[in-house]
Amino acid sequence: MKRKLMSLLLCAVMTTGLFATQTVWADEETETADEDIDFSEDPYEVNMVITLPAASPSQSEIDRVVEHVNEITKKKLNMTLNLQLLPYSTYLEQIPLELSSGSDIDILTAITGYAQGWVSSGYLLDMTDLLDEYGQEAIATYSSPDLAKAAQLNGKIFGLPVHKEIAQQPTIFFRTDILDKYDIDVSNVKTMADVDAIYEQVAEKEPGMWMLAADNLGVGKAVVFDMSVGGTSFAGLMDFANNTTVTNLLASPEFKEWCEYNHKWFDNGWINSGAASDTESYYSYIASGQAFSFFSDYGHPLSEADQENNCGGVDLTMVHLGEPYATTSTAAIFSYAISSGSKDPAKAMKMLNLLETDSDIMNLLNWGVEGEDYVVNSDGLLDYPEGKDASSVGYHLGAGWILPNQFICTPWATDGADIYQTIVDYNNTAVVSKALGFTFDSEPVADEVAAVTNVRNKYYKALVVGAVDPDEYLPKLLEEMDDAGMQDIIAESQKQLDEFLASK
Amino acid sequence: MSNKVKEKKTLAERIKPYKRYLPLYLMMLPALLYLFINNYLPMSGLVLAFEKYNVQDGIWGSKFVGLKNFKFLLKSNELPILFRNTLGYNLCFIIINIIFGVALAILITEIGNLAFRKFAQSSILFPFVVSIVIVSYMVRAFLDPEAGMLNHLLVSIGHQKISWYDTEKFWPFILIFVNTWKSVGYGCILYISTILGIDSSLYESASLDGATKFQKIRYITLPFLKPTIITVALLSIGRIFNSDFGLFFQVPQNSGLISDVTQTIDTFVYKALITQSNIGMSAAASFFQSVMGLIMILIFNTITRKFSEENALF
Amino acid sequence: MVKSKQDKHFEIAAYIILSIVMLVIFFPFLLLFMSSITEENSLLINGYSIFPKEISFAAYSYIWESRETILRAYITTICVTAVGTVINVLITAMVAYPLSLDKLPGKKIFSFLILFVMLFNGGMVPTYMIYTTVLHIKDTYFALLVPNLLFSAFNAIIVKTYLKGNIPEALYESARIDGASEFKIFTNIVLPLGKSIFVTIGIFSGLAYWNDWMNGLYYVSDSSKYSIQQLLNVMVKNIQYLTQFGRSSGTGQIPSISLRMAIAFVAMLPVLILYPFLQKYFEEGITLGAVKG
Repeated sequence: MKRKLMSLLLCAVMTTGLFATQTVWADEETETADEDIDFSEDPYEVNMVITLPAASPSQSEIDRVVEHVNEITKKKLNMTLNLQLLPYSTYLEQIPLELSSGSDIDILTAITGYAQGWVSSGYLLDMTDLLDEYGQEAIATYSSPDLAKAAQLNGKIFGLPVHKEIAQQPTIFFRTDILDKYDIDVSNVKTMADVDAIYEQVAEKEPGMWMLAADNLGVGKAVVFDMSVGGTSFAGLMDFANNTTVTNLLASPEFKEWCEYNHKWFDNGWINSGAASDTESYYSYIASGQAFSFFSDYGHPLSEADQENNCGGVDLTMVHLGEPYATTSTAAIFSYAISSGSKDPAKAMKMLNLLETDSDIMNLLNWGVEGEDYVVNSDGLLDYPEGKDASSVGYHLGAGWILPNQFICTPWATDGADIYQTIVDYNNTAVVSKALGFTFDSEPVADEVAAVTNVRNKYYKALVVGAVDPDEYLPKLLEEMDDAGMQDIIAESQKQLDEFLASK
Repeated sequence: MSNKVKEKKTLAERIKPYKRYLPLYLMMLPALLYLFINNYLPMSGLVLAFEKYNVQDGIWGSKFVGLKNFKFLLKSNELPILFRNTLGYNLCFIIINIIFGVALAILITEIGNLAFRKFAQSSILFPFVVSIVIVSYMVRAFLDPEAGMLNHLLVSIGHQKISWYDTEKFWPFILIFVNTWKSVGYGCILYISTILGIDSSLYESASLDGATKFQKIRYITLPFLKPTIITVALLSIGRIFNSDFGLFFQVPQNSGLISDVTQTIDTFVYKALITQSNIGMSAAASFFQSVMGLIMILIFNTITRKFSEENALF
Repeated sequence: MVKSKQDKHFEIAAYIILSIVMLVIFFPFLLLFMSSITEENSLLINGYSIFPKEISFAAYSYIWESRETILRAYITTICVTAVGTVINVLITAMVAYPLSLDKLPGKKIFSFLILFVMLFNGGMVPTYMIYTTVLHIKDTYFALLVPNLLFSAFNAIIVKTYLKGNIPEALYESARIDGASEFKIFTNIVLPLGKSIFVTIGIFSGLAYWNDWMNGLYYVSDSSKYSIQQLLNVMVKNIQYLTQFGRSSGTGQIPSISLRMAIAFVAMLPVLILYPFLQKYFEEGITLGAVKG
């Protein structure tokens, strides 16, 4: 996976408060269902696949929950759900294969990074018209129609993004114990130079400690650019709130600066020297006390607690190095799509519309069955039944960010009542790319993309973690990228982007 | 009419000698049936190499694009390196695995102590039980720049740490070593079973004639091993354009700076297409590898037929 | 038979060389095992070592929590391996014997048909279509048993070579003159005399089944039908996912390195235990093979 999954999400969403929205829907529930539904025919079974970050509950537990879901869907739509929950690793192997052989999946989680190939091979349906006809309520759950339509290729909408944080933000996390020990004030830290100054200060007193636990997964995390415009080839937009001229992002001064600082730190022995080829996550180095800080593009208000948990409970201080920003790849990393093998796409769309708007179904899918898997506490929030926990209840996904619409779930007690509102508020602060909603179709330059990706693979990781001298390797990388056809990709990307902007 | 009867007769007559082979054909049936289902039915997928696949049009209905899918292989400036690495490593692997495999097989069968022999025999196959991903963890345990055993060793003798995963010159040796470690047992155990199938009276009479150990190996063991060795070599040559993906991708941890000496056709295709999900292009790459493999095997089979007809594959 | 001096020297050299070879083979396994019981943070700080500074069984206790699933997967894999290996050896022997006969008409064509599949394949998409839409093996135990592993062209060609080189055709001829049918020849001559090669390809096939996770990956999504390798593979991937992207998973820090090592060890364990028993058959096959006249 190229981009960090967590870069997510968000969606946006409803500006009204969560509970207000819920009440509205509760009222609607009493209304009778759509009159054009023929309840005399056999219920249509919708095959749905959701991917999960980790192990899924056993099939019998899923069936138990889905039975409750089906009571609702039968009443409202005369349909039933046949749900499959697949761990991400299994999903990535099985689903493309199933789609490529024309399976009868109706609704599935789609990943934007792969969707381009899936759309051009005809796996996913163009749902533009279906959405107009049956998906208006679903569209209304997004804070803007642009967000609802963020997952599209060549003007065809292929999915509805999940509701989640839509913004990323250049962020650095420091270990609080070290900051306290040397009485360091981080409130004025805004730039790489500020970070460098702190490193100088700490490194002197803590010889042997790595100032930075680096990873090679993502793009330099203090550098902000819109990559959705050129896919993995790194053609994209700098300063995307104002600028729409596509350039080679790795040729930018910002990227060079990132590489230079990292190289300096690397040379000083301030970075874990195995980072370029490491498959270990940097959290382990924080947890083991070997490292002092790490960069992240995951800087929303809930992030600090998440990261502390990831680092085995180490106390962290979060410092932002830039504004939150939203691009296609941050806003629509996951979406819900309809497969071209669906036997009845219209019905699938109606089901998806219901999933996006029915809080009872979302609660069932996320938290299980009331009384069995969770109870409602006195604050109206949810908690485990007496004496149970995550591993002893039968069904507990707790992964709302991968479901169609977590914002209509009732919050879990430990997350707090306003968790979803916090996310929504954060989303509203994001600087939005002019190219939001644009996804590059690399098909016309597939050969060049293959060649450029290959060149980039050679040097990119080593540059990002500072293992090599940017003065020597960066020009080499840029030259080889151009030889491999980078300018053709940029031209194609610019052409498509201009068409997209014109159509808006 | 009389003509027809006559013809029928000759047909029956012609079939008759084959009749005794019928049971033999029947015996072959399960395997052939399996090949038909598992391999020959899916061969229709070969046409994907020449199409822009669209699931809604199906395998036979998708748009024909000629050789377009093959272009990405040629367009990359990497092709000479890919060829050099894929062929070079495979050639080394074939030669080393045969030499080591045969040598170890002979040594093992020479051991008189039954318990030790059994133990040696089992252990040699042992690395085969681990998947290549796990092998890559093991390699990392030795080579990790920070926590790796080798660097700790180097530091303790006062040497500088080496950043193994960024240094090209070590990798040809590492890859060859890892491959030998992992797969020498496979051939070895084949050779052992062939050696143990040799009539022991041959060795006894050779000893009576005063033959030395090396003479017995040279004139009895090796000739008996020859057909197996040739078969293994020919079959490996057929796959010389394919590479063990795990060995070249997982073991070097996909490290970029060493990719000039670790990149093979398979890893290139994987990395180039991972985000494109382009079935046509990956089909084209494997079609190319197959055709090259077929050419190689035809050439080497012809050579084999010239020198030892009975050992040719077909 | 008295061994000559030279023979003795040779044997001593064999002992020495093989001991070194085995050391090279086993050392990485030892390191793997020791790192699986090394405390995670100590491993990161002090490095991998066969003498860990701090021992911890946290990785194994993490695995122990899934013991039921793992046990079920073990049983699935052992059954599939046993059934698959027997069928594999049988149909391989049945196709190799006729092909080893010089006189069989059409021999070259059949040999080529078998060889051809080693070179060309249609790729995953059509294979998947046939297995799921024609044969409907998805999420059944057949999914672990049938695709790709039931017969290996490589093994067939190897067995053919062995039979041709080690069993004289005159033996079959005299049996035929005595009135034996081809099936009788197969069961009474080919199977016993070729036993050592059949055991060898049995080991190959058994290991292929044991190590296989591709079939499960493509054809099994019901976690109760996971094979052991697939289960462990999914566990490793999930841990990787959790440690890299984990959001409020509530799991805290997972000992990821030692856990990976422990999982690798768990995957090998039954083979370690069963190997000596299988080895017995191997020896038997060999002695039987050696008595042929």
